[in-house]
Amino acid sequence: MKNLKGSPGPAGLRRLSHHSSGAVKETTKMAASLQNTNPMVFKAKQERIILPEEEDDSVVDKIDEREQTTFNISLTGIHLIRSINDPEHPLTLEQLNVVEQSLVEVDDDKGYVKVQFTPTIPHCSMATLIGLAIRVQLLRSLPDRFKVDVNVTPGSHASEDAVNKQLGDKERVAAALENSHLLELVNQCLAVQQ
Amino acid sequence: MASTEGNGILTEENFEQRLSLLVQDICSKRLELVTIVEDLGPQLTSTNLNERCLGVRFLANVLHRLVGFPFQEKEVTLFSEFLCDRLKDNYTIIPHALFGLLSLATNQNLADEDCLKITQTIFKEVHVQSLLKDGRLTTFNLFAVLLNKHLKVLTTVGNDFVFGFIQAMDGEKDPRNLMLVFDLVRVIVRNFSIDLFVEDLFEVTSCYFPIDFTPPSDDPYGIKKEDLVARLRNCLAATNQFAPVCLPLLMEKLSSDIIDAKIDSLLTLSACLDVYHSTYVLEHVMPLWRDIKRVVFHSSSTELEENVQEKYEELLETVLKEMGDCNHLTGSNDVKLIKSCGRILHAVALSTEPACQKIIDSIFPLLFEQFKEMDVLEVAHTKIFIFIITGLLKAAKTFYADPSGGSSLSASYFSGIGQQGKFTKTSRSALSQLSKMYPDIIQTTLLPTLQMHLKTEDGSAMDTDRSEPHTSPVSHQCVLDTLAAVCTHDSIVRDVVPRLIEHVQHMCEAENLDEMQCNRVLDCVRNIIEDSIQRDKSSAVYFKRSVVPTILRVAISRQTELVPRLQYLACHCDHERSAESDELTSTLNELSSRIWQNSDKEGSRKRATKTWLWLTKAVVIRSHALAPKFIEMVLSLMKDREVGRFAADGFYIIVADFDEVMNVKMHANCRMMYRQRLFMEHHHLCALSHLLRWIPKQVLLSEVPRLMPLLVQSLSCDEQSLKLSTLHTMSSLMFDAPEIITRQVTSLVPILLRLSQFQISMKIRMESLKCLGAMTTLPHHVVYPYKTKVCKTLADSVDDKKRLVRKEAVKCRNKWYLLGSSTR
Repeated sequence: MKNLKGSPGPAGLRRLSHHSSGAVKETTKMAASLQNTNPMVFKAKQERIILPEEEDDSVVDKIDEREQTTFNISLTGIHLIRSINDPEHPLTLEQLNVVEQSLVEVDDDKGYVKVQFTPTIPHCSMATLIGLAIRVQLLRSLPDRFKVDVNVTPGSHASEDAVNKQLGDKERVAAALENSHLLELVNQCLAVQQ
Repeated sequence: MASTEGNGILTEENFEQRLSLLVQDICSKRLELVTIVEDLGPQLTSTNLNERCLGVRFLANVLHRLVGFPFQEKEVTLFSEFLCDRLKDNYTIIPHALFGLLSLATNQNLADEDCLKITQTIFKEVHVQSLLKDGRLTTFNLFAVLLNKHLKVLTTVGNDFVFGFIQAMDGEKDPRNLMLVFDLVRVIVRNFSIDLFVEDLFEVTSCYFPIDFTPPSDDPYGIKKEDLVARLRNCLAATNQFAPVCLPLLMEKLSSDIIDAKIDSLLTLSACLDVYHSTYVLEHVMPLWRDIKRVVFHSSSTELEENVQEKYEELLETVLKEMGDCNHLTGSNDVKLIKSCGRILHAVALSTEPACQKIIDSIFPLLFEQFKEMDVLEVAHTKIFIFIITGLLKAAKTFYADPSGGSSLSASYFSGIGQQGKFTKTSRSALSQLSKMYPDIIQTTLLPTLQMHLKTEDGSAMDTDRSEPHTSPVSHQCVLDTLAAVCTHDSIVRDVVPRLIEHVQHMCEAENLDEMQCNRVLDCVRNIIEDSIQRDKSSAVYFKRSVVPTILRVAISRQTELVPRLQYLACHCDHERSAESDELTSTLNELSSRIWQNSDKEGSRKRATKTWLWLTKAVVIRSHALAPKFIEMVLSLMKDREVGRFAADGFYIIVADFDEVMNVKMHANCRMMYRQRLFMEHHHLCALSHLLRWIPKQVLLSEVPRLMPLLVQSLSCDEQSLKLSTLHTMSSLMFDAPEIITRQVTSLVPILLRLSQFQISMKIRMESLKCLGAMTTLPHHVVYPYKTKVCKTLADSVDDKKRLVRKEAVKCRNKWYLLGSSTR
């Protein structure tokens, strides 16, 4: 995975997706109000190659860490949340390396998913929103039998515990989603880049 | 000697004795009238009130006793002047003076001037209501006598007299006096112009209504409440001029809580209705009617009910009169009147059986009479009359299962309408009503007339073409419509249908066939059969036996477009399908051979093809064993240069639904999924589906609306490849023709959800998920209602055993979740 310094990019960057080959990492110059105006952009993972057995209707495919396609969102490896848009940047979380496959754990048999995400900067105020978006996306994309844990990668955020606590509290998540404004924000994060 | 006797002083003690002596003397001419006055002079002019009173009283009594003893004119004048003078005297004297005047007026012939003088003086000098009750009675008696003997003179001062009388009677309380007063009021109302005083007179009279009087047990005059009531009623019903003020009063009293008052009001109302012009009555007719109804429904008094009965009749008669009046009138105003009359009649007729009987007995003749004169009247009038008659007949129907009395009337009514030749819509409905009750009459009277019309219209069509091109077809249609309308009874149907078919045959044999006309007749037959079968399914057997073969004969002789439709309608009318399938097969075989018999000519080949197509539709619908054979024939026809195109189009006929024929409503034997079966067998739909996928969209789009139902249905069939290709087509159509898909969303969503769990093929699961996902691009209001349902159902799909399916499910589900957020 290459790791390039971001440089001002064209407005058309919004179209950049994990599909485009050579999806080059570029940064975009956003409004001055952004906290991290110049984030690092990483290359998105390729779509996983469809194996012959996956097209055989009689074979059962387990949900695994590579369930990227299932979740259509670009949490790599878990490309689970891959295409979730960062609330601040018109880039996917994967492009920003907020989520990476190695930090996603999936156990189909036990029905368990654990996602750790890494905010771009330690003081990112959007951490909770990103977490919430990931969580909602997982809830919508996974069968009901799955238990979902979403946490900040240890040591990556200033108020790690507070964020984790918020994301781990079912009641608070539910309450947050009752808030139409917040839900709207989350939906915006989840709007799939076509 | 008389004078000597008379010389004594008149006292109370000798009053009677002297009175009789004096009267005897006068009668025997022993004494002159003048002498009496001279003798009485001192007393009459005495300054002592009692003396004077006694004198006047004596004189009055003398006059009273002198019955049959005519005075000279001069004497009469003298006495009347004197007594009138006395009216200005003390109040104790006035009653005696009045008595004297009364006696004078009764026994002698008053001159006109005297008469006027008397009345004027009374009105001027006497305040009647401050007299004692005997004095008042005397006054009223005097009025009565004067009115009786000198009416003509009094009418010359009409207004003064009426006004004076009103003042005189205002506030009268004594029942005996009232008896007289009421009589007088009636006389006055009858003979005087009361225009100026209508309300005053009504007020002073009506204030007694309703009369509440319990006679004392020792009443010497034996006046009963009924006497008073009857007299007052006569007053109120004395003139039409009271109508505008009286009707509201009566309505108010009708709603009284006292039963007596109600009865009185009703009886009075009925009395009034005799007199009052119907124009006034009609103004109040609806509220009156309401009140009366309320009285009837909320009362348990039988007496009251009887009265109400009477009331009906009165009301009826009034209305009748009005109808009579309307006879010669024209103009919108009267149309309204007649209309309200009609409404009343209807309401009344509906209320009770006797009322209904009465109406039928009394009004129908009148109506018919008027109806005959209807040529002169406007169409609006005619309509209203028919409307009324229809309404009444309906009403009559509720009471009589078999009204024999009305039948003769109805008969004349029919012929009346028949001769009119104006079969307006209303009259049709009238006839329809009638036909339910009197099928016999319809058959004997109406049908011949109508058939005559039908024939003449038909025969004269060419002659009349030039002169009145419009009338002919219109009335032809009219006759047909009428026929259809009266077919409410099996016996009529069985009479009419053969007649019509015969007519069609006749028309078909004619040289230049009028197809329009022919079709109309056939349409008519079709309607009749339809209705008849809806009414009673058993009649289908009849149609099968008698109608179908005839029509078939006609049909085969002229292969017109409509005939085959009809014939198959007829075929499928039958309900014992299984029993007659052999029969059907043989019919079909026979038909299929005959249809092509003389199809060599240009036009007839096309007709034959059309007939064949309809036949094909029929057999396909019921999945008859011969269906494939028929379809094959159609397919082969497609190669035919002349009718090929026609045959190809014919598939539309075969698979499309028609409102008029061969649907479930018509009892056609529609097998489930006959369309699918048709296409399964021929793989047409598959081809179609594939075509749709690749044909340029612009070409396709215009055809899509018609194909859509088929596509939706093909999603429910078993063929997987068909499903898959249809799903492909669908998802591309979501973007290309969203407005068409939108119309199908209701049926598509459940189908696609079901297919998303179609276990046999993951491809179908994925395709349907793609389709569902694409659906979110449709207008928000169309799809949003399904959001919850779809998201919930897709919970299973995201747990699909296949990753690729899961991927689609997630995509799809997320799209649905995002519905309603502003991200799109």
